[in-house]
Amino acid sequence: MTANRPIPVPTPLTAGFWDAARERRLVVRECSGCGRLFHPPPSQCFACGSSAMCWREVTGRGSVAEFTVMYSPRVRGFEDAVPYVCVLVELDEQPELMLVGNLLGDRPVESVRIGLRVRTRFVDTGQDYVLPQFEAEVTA
Amino acid sequence: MVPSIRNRTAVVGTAFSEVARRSTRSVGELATEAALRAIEDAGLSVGDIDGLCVYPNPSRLGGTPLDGQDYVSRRYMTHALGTPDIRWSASVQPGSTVGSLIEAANALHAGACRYVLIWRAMHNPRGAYGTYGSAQAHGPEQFRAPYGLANVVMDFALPYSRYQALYGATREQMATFVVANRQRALGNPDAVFRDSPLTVADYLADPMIASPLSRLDCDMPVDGCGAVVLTTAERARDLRHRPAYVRGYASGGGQTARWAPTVTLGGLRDSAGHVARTLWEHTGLGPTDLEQINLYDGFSFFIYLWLEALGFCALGEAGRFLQGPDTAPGGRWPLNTNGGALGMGRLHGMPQIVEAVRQVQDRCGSRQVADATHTLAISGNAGNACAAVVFSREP
Repeated sequence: MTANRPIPVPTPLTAGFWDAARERRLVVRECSGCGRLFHPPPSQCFACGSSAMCWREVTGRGSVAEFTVMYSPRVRGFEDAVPYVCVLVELDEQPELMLVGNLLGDRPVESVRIGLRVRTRFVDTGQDYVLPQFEAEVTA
Repeated sequence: MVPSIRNRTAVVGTAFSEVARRSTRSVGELATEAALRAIEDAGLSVGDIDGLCVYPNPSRLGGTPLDGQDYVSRRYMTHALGTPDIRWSASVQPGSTVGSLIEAANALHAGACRYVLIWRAMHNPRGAYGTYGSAQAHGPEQFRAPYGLANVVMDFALPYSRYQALYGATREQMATFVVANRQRALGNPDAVFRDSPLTVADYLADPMIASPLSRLDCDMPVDGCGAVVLTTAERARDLRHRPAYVRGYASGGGQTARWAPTVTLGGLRDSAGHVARTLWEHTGLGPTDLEQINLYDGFSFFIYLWLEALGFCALGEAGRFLQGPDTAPGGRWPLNTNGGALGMGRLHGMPQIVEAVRQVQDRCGSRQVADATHTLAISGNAGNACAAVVFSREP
């Protein structure tokens, strides 16, 4: 089903993200100097200017900051997936630390809303990469 | 301090080519048509043009764009005009159409040339617009495209969903703006929707592309071109029409303080706010000094961002503001009186520039705003590339 989808092509700067995902870990870039977190990985810290950066594992929990439901088959490999939900998730670790994902689980089109609490779920694509995705947190 | 360029340059000619959903002619031919018409409108001849400036980016995504088929470069235009003596030229990148006008004004003010032609040529490729066919997601795309987020409608649907949730903005509110804009395009001979009215019911029933944006929230891709001629204030006085003096401007894009894998509402607001502050400072004006405004509406949602950033209404109020009388004909700030991008077609800010110019020139016929002494034109989405300019009737 995901065979024709765009495959992420890691660079030396981003490979750590995809390597961690294969181990079911979610990581973002952290400034070794001031501790500021960034995603996507930048070459340097935009807060203090330091070039010393490392990977930091995060919980993968957060809330939906923005979303869209895509109804039109305009992206390669997603022709049969419409409608699908894309979310921009603000992680709990830092305000405006954002990741893109799809909202998985039951009836995502109906249940998605701004502020929805989500957690990361790693999805094996059957290819050489694992995608960090999101699903609604189970509520009591 | 008053910027030395204030009212020292002016727009003296404006024109569109044929604008059609799909033309039988190449975009190179259409750009040549628009250029010759704009030069004629100014009362000049081709030989007078000695400066060229363009935002040339092709509308086709991926592939190998061809000069004259997908976009129109300075080189193409030089040949099409019969190789006039070009003393200054530039392509703007990151681009916006008002951005090319600003560079032209700067070059004229610096004395680099005497008459500059700018144009924005758009081609509507075959097939669905904005499809993403790449098998590999490189660079920043690797954090978006594997999730099926690889389309410009989706990019701006994301912040719109947050805006709606924060302020209770409704589709009915947006219907008022979109329908009014299409109404204003009726009778505009340059508009792709010149004879195609729209009702609120049509808009509300329109299928979503990427919620909350439906097809009617997106401007229609077209084949067409808008062109503008600028010169110095001294030279402008002797030409055919009243000059539209460039009072001041602001270039945006790149200030976005937010680092994120895609467009965020906060990032758009940072950028739009920066443009607004710069514009009011550079022009020495504020909202109450303008009589008519032309805000970029390539996606309907952009109107909200610009109205709020520039201070025409309060944060979160744009939807309700547009349902009131202020932006309607006869209101305080008649908005996009030619139909804007949603009425005229995807011409990347040329509808805004040309209308702002013609309003201060008193050339807008039945839609002319009385005593339009200062008008505003904005092109771009407030995020990565945008610019604003104010035109004055008096030097």
